Amino acid sequence: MNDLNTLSKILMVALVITFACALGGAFIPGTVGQWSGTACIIILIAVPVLRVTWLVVDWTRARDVKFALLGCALLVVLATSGAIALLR
Amino acid sequence: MNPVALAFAAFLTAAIGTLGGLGGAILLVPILVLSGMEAKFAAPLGLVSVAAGSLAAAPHQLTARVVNHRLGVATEIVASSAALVGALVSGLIGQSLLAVLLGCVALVAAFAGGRRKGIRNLPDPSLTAADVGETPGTLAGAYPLGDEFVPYRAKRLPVGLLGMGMAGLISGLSGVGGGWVKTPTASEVMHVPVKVAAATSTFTVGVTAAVGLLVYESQGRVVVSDAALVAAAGLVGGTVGVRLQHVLPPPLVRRGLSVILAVIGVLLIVRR
Repeated sequence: MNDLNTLSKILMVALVITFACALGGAFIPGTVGQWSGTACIIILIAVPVLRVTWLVVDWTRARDVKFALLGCALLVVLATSGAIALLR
Repeated sequence: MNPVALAFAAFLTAAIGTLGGLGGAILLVPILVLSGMEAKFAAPLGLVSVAAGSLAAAPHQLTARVVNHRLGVATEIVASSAALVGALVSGLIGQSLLAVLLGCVALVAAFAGGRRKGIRNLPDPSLTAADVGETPGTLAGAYPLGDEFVPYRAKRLPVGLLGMGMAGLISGLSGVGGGWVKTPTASEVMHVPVKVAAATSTFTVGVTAAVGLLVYESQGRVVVSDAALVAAAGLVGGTVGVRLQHVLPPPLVRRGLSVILAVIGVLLIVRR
């Protein structure tokens, strides 16, 4: 199964939302602007991780076990890196 | 730096970063520091630019099937692990020595890409649009080049992984993304077409930037208004960069990449 077209559409929606949030964070003063900018940063952090997760699911469904496991390993490495860096 | 100049710098570096798969932080962070911004605040903005460029490029690159996610994931495990090691030992290496090392790496990568002529992977007339994309279970695939389709297969995996590990180590040591090492490694060492290498690197630097941004955010080093401006400009720049990447011929992209890497190398060595 190759579901990259759906992923592409989802990322396009994320792109538009992120752009709107970024504009809000850059140009709206006060709390609303702060929240909008923070939302933009959160999306920028979340999207790559969700993309790798999506790939793992896609490869698992396609029975491409070797790369599904590699994707899982990458998620573990990322989680470990984030945790160690946050705890230091 | 005033907001207009910040937005312009973010736009330009994201466009160049996405075009060549460099990530953009290696260009934006020095510009911000030279303009008087403290490095501890410039580095997070560099990663915002990288993440924005990666997101901006993703829909188009996915539709065009030029990203090899399997190659990206396989190499990013090594790169991310090495980046973690690099970050943990970063205090043990002097910044001046590090800058010289980074500069030398950039110059070698520039030379390797610049001296090669022509296209290594040639179109295969037997391939159709249905063949474009990744080959499941392998590090191979095909990508569109004009009206033709070019097959490729990643070669010299152990050496390539070593290069990706070095990219990650450099990224962890220096705090800037490793895309400017990843793309030449994939292209010149692993013989992946430069457009696929750049697109795959754009995907992986987004992953690395996400972890770095999480850390910077938790440390309170992200100035939200500046980050939002950089993100907006970076998203536009990334969109322009990926469109240019699609229309420009591979040798031109490779030579342009070499020139940018040479400039980065000289800047790093001179500014140490």
